[in-house]
Amino acid sequence: MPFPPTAPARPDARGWTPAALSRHALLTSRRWVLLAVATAGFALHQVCESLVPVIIGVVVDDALVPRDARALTVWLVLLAALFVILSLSWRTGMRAAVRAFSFGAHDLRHLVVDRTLDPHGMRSPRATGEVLAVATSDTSRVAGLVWTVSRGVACLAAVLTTAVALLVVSVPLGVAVLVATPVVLLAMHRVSVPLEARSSHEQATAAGAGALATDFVTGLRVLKGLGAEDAATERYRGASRLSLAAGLRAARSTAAYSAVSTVLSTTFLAGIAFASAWMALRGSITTGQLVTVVGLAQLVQGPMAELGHLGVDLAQKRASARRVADILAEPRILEPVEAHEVHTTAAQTPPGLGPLPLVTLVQSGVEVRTGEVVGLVVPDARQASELVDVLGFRAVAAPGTVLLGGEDIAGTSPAKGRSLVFAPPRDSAVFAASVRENLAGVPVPGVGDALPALDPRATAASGVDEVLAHLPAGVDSPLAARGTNLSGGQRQRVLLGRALHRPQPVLVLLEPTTAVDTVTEAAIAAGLRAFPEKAVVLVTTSPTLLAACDRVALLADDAVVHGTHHELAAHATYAEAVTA
Amino acid sequence: MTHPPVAPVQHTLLPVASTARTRSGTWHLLARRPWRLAGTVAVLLAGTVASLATPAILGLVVNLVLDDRPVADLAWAAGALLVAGGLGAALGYVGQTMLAVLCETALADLREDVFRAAVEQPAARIEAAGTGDVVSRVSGDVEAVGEAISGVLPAFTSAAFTILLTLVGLGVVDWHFAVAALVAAPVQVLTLRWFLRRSGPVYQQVRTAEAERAEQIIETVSSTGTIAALDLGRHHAGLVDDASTRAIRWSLDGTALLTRFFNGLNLAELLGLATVLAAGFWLVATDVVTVGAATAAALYFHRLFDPVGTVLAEFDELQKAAAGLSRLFGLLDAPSAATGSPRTATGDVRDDPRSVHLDGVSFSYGGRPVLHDVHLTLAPGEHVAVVGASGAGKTTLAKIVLGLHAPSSGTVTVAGIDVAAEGPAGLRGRVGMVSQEVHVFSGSIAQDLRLADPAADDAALAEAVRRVGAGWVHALDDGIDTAVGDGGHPLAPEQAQQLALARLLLVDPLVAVLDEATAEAGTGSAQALDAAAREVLAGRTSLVIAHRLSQAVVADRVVVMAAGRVVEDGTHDELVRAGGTYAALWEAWATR
Repeated sequence: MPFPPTAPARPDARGWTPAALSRHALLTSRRWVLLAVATAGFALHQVCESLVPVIIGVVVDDALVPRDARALTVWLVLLAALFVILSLSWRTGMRAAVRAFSFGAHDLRHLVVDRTLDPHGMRSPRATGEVLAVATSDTSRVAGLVWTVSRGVACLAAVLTTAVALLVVSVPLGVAVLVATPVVLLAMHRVSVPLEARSSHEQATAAGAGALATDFVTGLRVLKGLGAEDAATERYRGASRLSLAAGLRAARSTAAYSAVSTVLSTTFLAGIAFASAWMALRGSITTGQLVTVVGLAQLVQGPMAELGHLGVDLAQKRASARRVADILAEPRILEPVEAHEVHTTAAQTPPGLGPLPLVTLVQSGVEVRTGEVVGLVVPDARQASELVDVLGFRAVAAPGTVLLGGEDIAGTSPAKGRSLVFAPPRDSAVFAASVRENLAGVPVPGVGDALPALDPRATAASGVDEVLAHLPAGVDSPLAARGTNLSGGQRQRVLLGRALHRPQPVLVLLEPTTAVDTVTEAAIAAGLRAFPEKAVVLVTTSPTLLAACDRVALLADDAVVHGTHHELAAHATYAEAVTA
Repeated sequence: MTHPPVAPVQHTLLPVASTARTRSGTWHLLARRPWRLAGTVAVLLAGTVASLATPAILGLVVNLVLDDRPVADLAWAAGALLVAGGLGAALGYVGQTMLAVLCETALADLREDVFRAAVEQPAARIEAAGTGDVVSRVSGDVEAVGEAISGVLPAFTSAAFTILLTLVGLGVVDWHFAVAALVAAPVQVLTLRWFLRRSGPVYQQVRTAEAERAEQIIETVSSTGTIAALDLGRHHAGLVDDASTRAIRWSLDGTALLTRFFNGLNLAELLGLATVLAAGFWLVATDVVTVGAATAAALYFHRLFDPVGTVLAEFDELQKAAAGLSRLFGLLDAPSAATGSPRTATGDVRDDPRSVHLDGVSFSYGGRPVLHDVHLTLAPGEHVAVVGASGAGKTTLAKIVLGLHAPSSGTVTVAGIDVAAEGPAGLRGRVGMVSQEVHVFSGSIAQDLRLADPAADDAALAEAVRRVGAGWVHALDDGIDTAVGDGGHPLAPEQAQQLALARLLLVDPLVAVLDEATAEAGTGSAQALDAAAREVLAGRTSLVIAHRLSQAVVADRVVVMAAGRVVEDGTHDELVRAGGTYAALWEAWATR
């Protein structure tokens, strides 16, 4: 191997457990105050809601039956007071809960994003979509514990109020309602579980049609290039009909569930109505109390059902918290350098007269010094990007194989190494910012918001000048995220221009001109020679770029050869790698 | 906002249908099956009537108690409750199922029409509107309408029917009660109008802020390598935090409006309930109604709290769905490429169907001239490479040959067909392109390939795979049935390009266009792709937008373009000898 293999990494020691994350979302930054306010507000609101049918019953008893106008007035005023408390308590609870929820999710999101941005890397990188889902849905679900706690307590309060009211009216009736309600709810739950599972499966099928449409329209230019509009429409129709069938099955399931629960709750209500009416007939409760009992029996089902849902809800939240914790606990690629013993590398440095080379690949004997443009031809594309990743501190080098300024890269901290070498990944990102910010960097906060200056040498050498000529607002034109409003060649030139703006003395570029046209590539090859204060390493197989290099090295598994592009042209492996 | 997500190209969005057009379009979709529509409404109404019998029977029970009737009567009443509940449940099931069939079928018809309209849009209009606009219509808007239909509509209809019939029920008990209940209505209407006016823009901001937050997270998370290399970690964490905070601020504003809205509804509930109770008192006192009837009225009204809340809260969801519908009808009404303005052929019938002629072709895009007076002829079976800097007009030239762009002036005859007269539809199957954009359609590799030729059998697919040298397909776990594309088995860029070439083989066009088809190929694989391209182009007339000069060397002729004009035209050897632009490029490329 001409350059070092990736060394294994050890797991990160920091631990965020799901429970600790939940506590963090619920309680830190004085969120426990908001949580308490939300709980109190919702509980008071629920109690008031359960008192409404009680008051209706009392009005029947005290005002309607005895035809007492004064009692009516008193109770209506009390009803109004009840509504004022009911409104204000819900409003207060709701606002506190939304605040606690939003900022709790925000803090968790911050943790997730921070972890992915850790310069020591993540050993198994996650798909962007997965991180997005964790950083938005899962964090929200964990922070949603605010609702679980506050609503749970409120429902419990409602159930208790109802129980007390019912027991005051009649002990046997109260006991009957309180025992029968959970039984009915359990029955409903048993019916709903398989239905819910089926309906979510069917909804997933339905989402397939949307994904297919997105896919076809995203590739519309390709479709049109093939004249495949009809074939695509046919396939979409197939998916759409599948989705229709799934949607209908889901609708039928939902309708069936709601029918079954209607039957169950009506049966329950009929039983309660019959029993309490019979007691009223016998005179053991009043007519108004009959109304109250029936009203409460209907009302208590809501909070009890919500309490019953708590188990499923908590299970989902635990799964979300686990996913957040998994990302936070992902092992690093590079270990913090303090953990390393710094290797003394003087003995490994080949004897030379000049100053220490900026970069040394020990096994292949490649040395790079200021003012040089060095081409590296690595026929295996995977090895090429691994080499650049090692130099960019995205992969770990075996100790003693790569030296930066004479010091072993394995003992160099990423921060220090990155200040010496700029080695961006091949698929570097263009950000949603102005061209200027993409090229020269963002304004440093606190140092004044002055926009960074552009280096005309860099914009000329990278061919960015020509890109700017096509943009309406020139250097201040905004670029879309991922540079989607640029062509491949324009994007690559912006990335090259950015690299040339960097202050690091060493620049390592991996295939920097694959998307630019031949005319521009020739101009760039010449332009890269205009930076005597830098060392430029080009990992490429482009003959145009290699011809412009001071020195070239072939780093193949079976051969390491040094020379110039012209000298190496006769070498079979080299010629084969660069002819393409 | 420091980074507005604005593209420098001003997009001309696709049209949006007017409210009247949306309304009539929706009505036509539903009324395609008039009897089903009428039946659904009838069954839903009947179901609501049955379930509204419950409070009436409870009122009856109160009267039975007051009149001291025998227990047997109570048992009858309880039985009636059960029957009403069962009937309500059964009719509700049938009605909701019928409603789903009616609406979901209409939605399926609509989304299929919309999809066809989307893929038939002229390429130029899609480019002007941006693919994003079309994508958001065929997926986001269709989804929003679908969610409203499956999630909101059933609850909304049953709540609306309940309210309507409860008012009728109150009127049946005594008309005074219906009037008393309506006291709440003006407060509800005013609250709703206030809320919709204020909440619309706020919710819009919430959605925009959340979309920006997602966009920022995607940008940051997908670029961690770049961010680390540039030492911008802090800056990017800050950008995500800012986006997240903006979303929170708007959602808190939304919550404030929402709580005030529901407080308004509480006020309406109080007013209504108090009035109904007072009316009950007065009617009982004047012996117009029984205590039981007054109780039933109060219970009826109490039962209205939930459905009224549902209707008013979901109103806003339905409005969103209506906005989605108007965007769908807008796309449906945009004229498609197939119905482009037909022009008569010049009469200059070219004999060989494999030839391509461009006579004095000019083209401007958004007012900016891109091609000037281009004359180019491709003899049958000739391979022509086009070389030039970015922006020289190479890709535009390719699109004109494909009929995707109509020239501003001049004539284009491809495969014996006047492109301006026939449009791209007339060229289908005769011309094919592998574009710069590499897209692997999601689904199996076989499905991907069959887009090019739906009738191709397994042997034909295997043959196409073999000819482009994509032997790796058979090494995959499920072979040619392996799922690829978004969420499937990831393919390397050169593998995706091989599939694109295989598709072109299956289209089997007379004229083929390759636009930088091997541009993104990594080390070593470019040779394999060049070989695959040669295989695909053999026997066809071809126009190759050359990125690597190795593609130009093997062409029969090379055309050099600069600033929208053809500046050099000849064989590779001729151009190298001529010592012009091409010769200079070749010098830089070939020195070794």
